Amino acid sequence: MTSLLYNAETMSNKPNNPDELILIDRQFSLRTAWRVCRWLFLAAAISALCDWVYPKEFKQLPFGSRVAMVLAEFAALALWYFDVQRWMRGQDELQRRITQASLFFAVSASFFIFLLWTQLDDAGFFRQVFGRPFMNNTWGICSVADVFLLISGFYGFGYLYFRRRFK
Amino acid sequence: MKNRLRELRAVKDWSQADLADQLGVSRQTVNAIETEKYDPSLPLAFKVARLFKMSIEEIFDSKNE
Repeated sequence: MTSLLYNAETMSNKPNNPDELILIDRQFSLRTAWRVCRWLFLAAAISALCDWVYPKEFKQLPFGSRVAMVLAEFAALALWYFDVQRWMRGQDELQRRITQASLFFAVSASFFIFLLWTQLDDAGFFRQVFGRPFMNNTWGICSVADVFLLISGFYGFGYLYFRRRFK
Repeated sequence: MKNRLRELRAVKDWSQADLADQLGVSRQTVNAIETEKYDPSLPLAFKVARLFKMSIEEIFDSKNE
């Protein structure tokens, strides 16, 4: 029964291997990373272009285009969610448990850092310590690309920690 | 939970990877069950029992936790 849940795309009875998504693991597979995270990469790329590379040009675009680009980012995130869900259904029970724990850790830790960072930014901490920001006139974490970097980093760290417990 | 998975696997002369393939799980999961770091779900325990043609109680012992 469980095998029916495995990814039909590859027609394999082998469960999906979460090690293939960890950049520093020797089993890392760019193909798997692309299959699972393509929509996230797209969202991060749009966000990076709008918020990091061409922020001034983005603000000069017509209202409709700006809204469409922001909505495209979040539509891509929603599609990414379904890909991750499908990929997790194809894991075996232990791997799924480790992935769930790592994702929970990544989201909680990112949320914590986001809140802390925002409060410190509001209090003027970063301007005091580092001076004027070099991008977008803010030190705040405000783009999808920032959040993507936070969640990916914490996911990798959490995954390596939780995996060790079952080795 | 104590179990006889390693012993039963040795009798059949299977590697962890062989057993993992037959159960449709990863080798890491088989290793975690054998080293008692992970207790399998009920469906997986039934699968193991069916594979070795034994009852669940003959393979897994919940008394010696």
